[in-house]
Amino acid sequence: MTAGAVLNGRAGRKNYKLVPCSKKKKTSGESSLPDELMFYILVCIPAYVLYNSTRYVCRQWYKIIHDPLFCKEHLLRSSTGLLMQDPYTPHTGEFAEFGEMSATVTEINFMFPNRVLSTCNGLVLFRNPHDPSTLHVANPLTKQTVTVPPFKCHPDGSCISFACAYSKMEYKVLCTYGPDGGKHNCVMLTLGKDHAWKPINRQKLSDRGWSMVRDCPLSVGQFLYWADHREKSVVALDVESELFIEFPSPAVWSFHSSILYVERERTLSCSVMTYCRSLVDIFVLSDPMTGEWRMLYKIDFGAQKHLSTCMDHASFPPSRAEAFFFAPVAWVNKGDVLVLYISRPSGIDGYFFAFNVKTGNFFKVGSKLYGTLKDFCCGYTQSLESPTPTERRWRRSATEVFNEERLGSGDDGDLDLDDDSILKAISTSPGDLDLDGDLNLTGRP
Amino acid sequence: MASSIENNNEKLTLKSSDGEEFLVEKHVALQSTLLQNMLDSDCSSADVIPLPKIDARTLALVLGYCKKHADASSSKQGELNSFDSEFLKDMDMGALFNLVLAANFMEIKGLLDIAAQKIADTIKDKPHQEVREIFHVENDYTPEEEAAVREENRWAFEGFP
Repeated sequence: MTAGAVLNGRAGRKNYKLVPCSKKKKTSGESSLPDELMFYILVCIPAYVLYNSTRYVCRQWYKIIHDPLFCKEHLLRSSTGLLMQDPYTPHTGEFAEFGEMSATVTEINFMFPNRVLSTCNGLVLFRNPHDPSTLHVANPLTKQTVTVPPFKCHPDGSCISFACAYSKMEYKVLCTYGPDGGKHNCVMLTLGKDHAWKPINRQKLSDRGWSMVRDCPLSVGQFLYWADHREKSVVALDVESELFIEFPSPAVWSFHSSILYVERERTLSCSVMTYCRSLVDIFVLSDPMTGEWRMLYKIDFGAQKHLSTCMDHASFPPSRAEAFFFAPVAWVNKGDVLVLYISRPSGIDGYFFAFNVKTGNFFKVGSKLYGTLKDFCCGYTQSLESPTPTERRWRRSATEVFNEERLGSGDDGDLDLDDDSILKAISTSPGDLDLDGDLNLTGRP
Repeated sequence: MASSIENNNEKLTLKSSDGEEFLVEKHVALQSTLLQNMLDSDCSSADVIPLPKIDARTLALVLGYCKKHADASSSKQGELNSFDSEFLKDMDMGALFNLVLAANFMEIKGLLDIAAQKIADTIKDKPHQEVREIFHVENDYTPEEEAAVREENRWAFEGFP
């Protein structure tokens, strides 16, 4: 049987084509729908449900859910939400999912060992709480964690981030360290592949551009971006080719406006806010290679009368004199909803507001962590991604290991799960009992 | 000189697995990539196209979907969206399974997507024991395997701080 090949053909959304239904005989643990259709259904289920419940249904589903192609397709279809982290110990977290008119906020059921430095495709990068020079990349959902090979530089003087090279689904960690003034260095490492960090070539980058690389970049798709409201240029590092690109910003900061860059659906977006008129222009970077920006939306928050009553202060839109902080934080829900942080005159207890650019709806996002959140939240997509390809392989072999145990001495060593004879052997083995009575498996732990 | 192929009112006959025949306008049938390819490769000379995997009840639903989507102009996306959700609203799981199989066989991408999404939405809030019943799947994990899968959930920083 050729489940792998079928999944291959099905995974690319553009390569939609007819695939003959599986001709395999029905065995226990196999659903009433063929694998390729189960793939289509399971890919629509949120990652936390798949991981905490759906994969326990049967071995066949486990196999589909843990297929790297499935993980990638699932990731690309998943909707972005908001990750909020308490900056103080203990670093608890919340995750907000967004609907048409409301946001659902859930507590994240694991303790962040440290502040999250960067996120990418549902993975988080953080320093070891006991040894800050050691870095880890983890998936908070699957709890898979890898330790980044050591690079000895002082944690206080370095900036760390990471991004994904999608062609091989490899994650690359970037570290810049050393003094300011163009004397710093920049090294990169591919997780699960490189044992040593290698320097990045700064060719084509202007001195000004290189000096920007000293700061922490934004991780957006396969690019790391250094974008600052005061700068006339944006610097990008394509982690696929490992080359820097430099191109003009869509707008430059002035006394009457402020500029902020956030991710929107794996693309860099730039919001230009005019204070007194409460206008926000949204640009997206249509092509990082040419540096071409496209104006996507022009939002007039002043015209949203309902918004000021929804907020607890009378004078909306905020003016510069009132010293309000009014900033786009993230694009969520497939790029339809813009989350804004609005601080009160007192400077504490701000709000998160979500504004749906398609429908014009806006609503407040509830959070227990208000007041401390301003700098500790970002767009985040829950995923089943593994930090390294090795980790992915390990998952498959775990299945094979327990398959082997079950088959006893496993004579020819062929442990292909799809082998019909093995499935037959499994379905008639004495271990094939209904275990539900003994097991207490719940959705979310 | 308009050939009969270009005639919009041309109809073709589809036959379900249980022998029922459906007369369908060509532009409606074109929602299905399978039928489109058959028509392009001029298999349409046959009077009746048999669909041996699809029963009459399912085929009627599929054609209802195709007609709505073929007739609506692209500017009425909102109307189509509400049609889609209404279309699947009270459908039971068996009917949804048949619909997914039919949409896959006839290659109707839009229908496959909404039916798969509907099934996913129905099972995502249910405990996996219940999901097994819905899909007629038996639990084929041994206790050791179950333990091995659970073990994957361990967090290296448990208990911190």
